[in-house]
Amino acid sequence: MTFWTLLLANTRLQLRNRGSLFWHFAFPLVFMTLFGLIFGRGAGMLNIGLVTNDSVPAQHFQAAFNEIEGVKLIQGEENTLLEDLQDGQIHVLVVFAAAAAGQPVDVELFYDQNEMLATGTARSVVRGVLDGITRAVLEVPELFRLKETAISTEELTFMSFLLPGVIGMSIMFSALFGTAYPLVTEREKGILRRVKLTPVKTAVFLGAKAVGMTVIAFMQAAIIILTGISLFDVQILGSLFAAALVVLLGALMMVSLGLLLAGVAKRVESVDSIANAIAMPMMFLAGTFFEIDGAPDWLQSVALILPLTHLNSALREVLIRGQELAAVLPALLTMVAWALVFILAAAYLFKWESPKIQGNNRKVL
Amino acid sequence: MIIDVQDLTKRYGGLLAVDKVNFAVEQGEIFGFLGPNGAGKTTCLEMMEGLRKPDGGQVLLKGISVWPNPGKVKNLIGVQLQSTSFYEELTVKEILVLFASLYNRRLSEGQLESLLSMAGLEEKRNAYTNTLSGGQKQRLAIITALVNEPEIIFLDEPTTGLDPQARRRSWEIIRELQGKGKTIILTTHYMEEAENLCARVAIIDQGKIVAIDQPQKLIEQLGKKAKISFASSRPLESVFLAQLGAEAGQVSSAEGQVLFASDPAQTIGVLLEKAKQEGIVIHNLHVSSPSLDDVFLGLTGKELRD
Repeated sequence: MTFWTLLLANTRLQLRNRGSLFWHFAFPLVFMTLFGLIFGRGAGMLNIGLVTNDSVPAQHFQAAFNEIEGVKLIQGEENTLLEDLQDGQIHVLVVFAAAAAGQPVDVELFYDQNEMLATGTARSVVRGVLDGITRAVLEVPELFRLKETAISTEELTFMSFLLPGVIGMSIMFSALFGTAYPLVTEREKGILRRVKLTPVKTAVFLGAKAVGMTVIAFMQAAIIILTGISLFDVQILGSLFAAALVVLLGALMMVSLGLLLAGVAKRVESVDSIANAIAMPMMFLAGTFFEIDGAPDWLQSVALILPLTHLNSALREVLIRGQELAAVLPALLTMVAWALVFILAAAYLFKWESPKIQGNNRKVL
Repeated sequence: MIIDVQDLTKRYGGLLAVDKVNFAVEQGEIFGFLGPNGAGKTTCLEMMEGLRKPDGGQVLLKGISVWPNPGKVKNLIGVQLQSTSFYEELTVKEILVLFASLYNRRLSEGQLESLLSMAGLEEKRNAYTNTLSGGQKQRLAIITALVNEPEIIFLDEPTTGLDPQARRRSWEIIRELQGKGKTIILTTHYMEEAENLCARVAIIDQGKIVAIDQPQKLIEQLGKKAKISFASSRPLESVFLAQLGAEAGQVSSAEGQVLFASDPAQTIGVLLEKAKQEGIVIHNLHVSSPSLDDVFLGLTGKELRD
């Protein structure tokens, strides 16, 4: 009974606090929406400006582009389109000059040299199309027959990749702050000393907090998954039961780290700085938003140790790639190991009393 | 004898915060610890509650030793700690239910009602604790200490910082508890509170009990002595004071010089004569009968107030 009353009280405390409500639920959605707007839609969509002279080659060019996916052809006046190019609205501008019959058509191509990646792609697409038209018109025999096969059948869209990362990141931030912040506050306000006067067992008191945060973690995962499916067309391939187990282990691991943090932080103010110092680098290194294949080997080795890396990758494998739990067993075991390390260290460092209270007495005496 | 404290001692580094304190309290008594900030009242109380481990001596509550295993007395005692805080996002009722559950108890509707009405918080049952006034918060702290129906109740400065009206409201609760046969130990630095509430008080200074008795008896100890207070144009030397045939208090900025004399007329005569010889001007001369405040001043040489 003690446990349930405590669990209820803790859940009320989390849900009645506007600050924690925002960080638990609104923040991940804001994050996902922003990333979705920036990278999710129209990534790889090339905008090519075209000034045509209605010559036959220009018509061929136009027809060829209509068959290419991911390219948008925008026709217009040269001056307007040049401005669009400078504004970054279009990636390259192709201008067909008027030409006498039988002469090669002058095609001028403008691009922004600061946008190397996108314009590079656009330029080679334009060259390829022009070459294709030349070959077709001249009836040049094909030397190569190119057949393209994508190796991974489930090539992840950006949002599909991002979603498990956002879940992992949210669980990390919420569990770290949501565990450590109230505990250190309760210690500073003397509530923990008051609780210590009651017969409640430490394990029950802290256990209720851990379970409360785990409930929050499940709510976060559910909200993020529903938003991903409904707004960003994310495909959930794996079993939700398996994902729930990963969320459970991840939440317990992060809550344990939060308990440890509450033992390390002397004052409420230091919770912020310590939690951010732990969480921020981990967020980027753990493959939350992008794989870190490009990083130096030593940094990748560091990333492989981090708790969040295993939570993120296990969630991604199970949820998005549809893997069985057995396939992510190493990640699950690593999370359990981390949880144990954190719990033991937290038990060693946990204090019921703020050092300030003792110090205060000493000063007065 | 429900509380028996023997040679209770606490050291902080080289400082003796509590120095071999001995006292006993009868069941149903309201016992007060009187002393200035830092005298060792709170440390003493916390050792009795099981929050702070003593360096020497022992505390017996109903014959059970608090140390080394404070868990044994947790169901016997109720505690209101100094500077009370609550979970701000919980209501009055939720706080009471939560603390009862920490004792593995479920509050019946009747128990909840009687606690709320004792504290005058019936209307505030669904109010968040951060909307309560200072007096309401203190009263909530007191009834929170009652959820386990304790026999011994510790109240650490239950009325500090409250206005006189709120203070009287808290006194009513404390008297009501006494009426129910509870034993109450409280600390205070308000004389009025000690005189009004406590059957006996212990005056504690620098970790030692310097006097322990009924408030009225303590005042009578000063005897038929009168309190003479005055201000002087420059401090009087101790040699000078010794000749007055009075017990001298110490100079304090608020009241000036204080003397306790069994023959005030004679002492004042000598005082004025000597002052004239030395060229010292005496003004604001008062003669009054002593209060508990004066007992404290006479015993410790300090004013009790903050």
